[in-house]
Amino acid sequence: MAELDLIPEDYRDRLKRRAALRRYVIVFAVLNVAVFAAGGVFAELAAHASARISELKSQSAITEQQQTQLEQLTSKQREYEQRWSLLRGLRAGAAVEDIFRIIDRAMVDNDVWFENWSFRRAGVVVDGETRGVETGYFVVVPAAGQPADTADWQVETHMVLEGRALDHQALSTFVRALFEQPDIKDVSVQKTALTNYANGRVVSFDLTIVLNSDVERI
Amino acid sequence: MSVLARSAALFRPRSSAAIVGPIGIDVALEAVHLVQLQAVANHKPVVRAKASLDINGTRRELLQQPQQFRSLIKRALASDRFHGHKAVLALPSGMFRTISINYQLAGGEKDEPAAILRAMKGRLDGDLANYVLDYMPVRARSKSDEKLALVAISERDKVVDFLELARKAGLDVSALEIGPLAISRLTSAISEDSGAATVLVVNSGRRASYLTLISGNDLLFDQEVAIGEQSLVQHICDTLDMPESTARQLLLRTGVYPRGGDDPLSDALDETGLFDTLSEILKPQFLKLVDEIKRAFLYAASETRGRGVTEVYLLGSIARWPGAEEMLSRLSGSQVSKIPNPLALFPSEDDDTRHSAEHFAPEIAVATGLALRGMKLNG
Repeated sequence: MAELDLIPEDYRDRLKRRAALRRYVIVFAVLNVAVFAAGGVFAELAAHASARISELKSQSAITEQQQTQLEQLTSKQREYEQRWSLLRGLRAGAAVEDIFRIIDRAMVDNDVWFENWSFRRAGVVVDGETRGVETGYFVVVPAAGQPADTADWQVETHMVLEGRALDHQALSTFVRALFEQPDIKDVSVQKTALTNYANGRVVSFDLTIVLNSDVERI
Repeated sequence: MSVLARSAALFRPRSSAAIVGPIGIDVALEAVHLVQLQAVANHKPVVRAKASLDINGTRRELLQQPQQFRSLIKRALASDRFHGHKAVLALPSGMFRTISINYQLAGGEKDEPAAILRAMKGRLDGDLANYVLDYMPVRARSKSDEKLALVAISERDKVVDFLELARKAGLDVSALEIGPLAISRLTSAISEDSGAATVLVVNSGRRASYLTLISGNDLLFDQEVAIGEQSLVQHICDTLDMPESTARQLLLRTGVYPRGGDDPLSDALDETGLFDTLSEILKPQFLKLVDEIKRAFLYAASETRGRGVTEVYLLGSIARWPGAEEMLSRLSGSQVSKIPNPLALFPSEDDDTRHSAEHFAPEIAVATGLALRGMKLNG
């Protein structure tokens, strides 16, 4: 059967266009809502992330502060350890009776006798360039914020002996015997002179003996 | 079966799935009628839903009040199990007219619409752009190249206003038809059952009646006759000097032609004299209608090579008067009968309409014909 339809074509087209536009608007609106929703979610996530970053930053700041404190404490520890090292150095070395024993071992006969005996053990500031041996030195690390101190400290133990010897031979024998002692680092004859007595002549001398110090290098 | 084939099978329409047709909507003078059919493959359509809601006021007022129209449609759709909003509407009577025109295709011309438009020029006032028209070709006359078409014409503004009204009521109008075409479709369905070849439908309205001639599947013509229910009632009021409401009640109760045994009260009161009086008053008016019917018979005979009209159906408001079809039968000399209940043709399983073939429901004839659009009668 033939059909008949009185809907104008342009009206039908207009409705189709309107329906298409409505669909487009709906899709656009849905997309907008989705984008806004996603934006909201991302903003929320960003806010959370920012809060987390702030939290981490504050934690990091705390850590840096602690790090600084740790460095300061480490520096102080080093300083104290240096001082402790110095004190140990000062306290280290041969005991006094051992020194006497060493000197005594160096004396061959009774050709040498002593009139004055001084003993000194102290930290001595030395220039770093002058360090010849690795032992017996320690370095003072400057405190934080203070200018670096280039001075090195050395524990120096030495004795100064003033005495008499029958002759230069006896003095020489004695000095050689001292050198052969392992605890003696250096022996320096500072001065010799002949002194006349009624029954003969003797040699007056001043000796400086430097002892080895058992100080660890820090 | 491959995954692809299985997937395709999911989207393939199942043969057992019901195909739901559009909602046929007829905005009649006093009520709005809705009918929707559905069909299962290879089966005749059945009624899925139907509704008739009275118009509170006049149709003219209803068509000018979108809110009220929307509310009415909404209530109607909610009253039964209507499916979707796709609808086929009939343009209310008075908003269109039909013209049968003869036209010829100029030598070898294939453009039939252009020939129709050419033939329509001069028949319409003003610019053709102010009108909406569509046509139905009627079978070609054999003796010449002359062709016949039934053209439906309406003013464009009225059509657009009506469509907008429907759109605002939430309807998706798939087609806008005219009542006679819907009746033609319905009578074609009836003819398939009854075997009638050429049918004349007398559709009586309030102010005018319409004669629709259908031959097979062709709508041969649709003609307006200036005799309506109102003019007949007014004639009785004038003659018997009674109020219109009383005249209407009298017509609906006693009818216009004696029918023995139908009304015990009439039999007891022996109202033969009353029938005779009413018949005599209305006879001249009915004869005018019969003249038009006979003219339609002649036209049908000329267009169907002498086969003539095989069935005359009466529907509309006059058809509700008892004895109206008998009176028309007697005056015309042809059998006139009320149109069978349209819903009886498409009975639903859970409906009593299949048992009510004799039930008279002419008011939903147009809506049923509209709902038939696009439906296959034999599945």
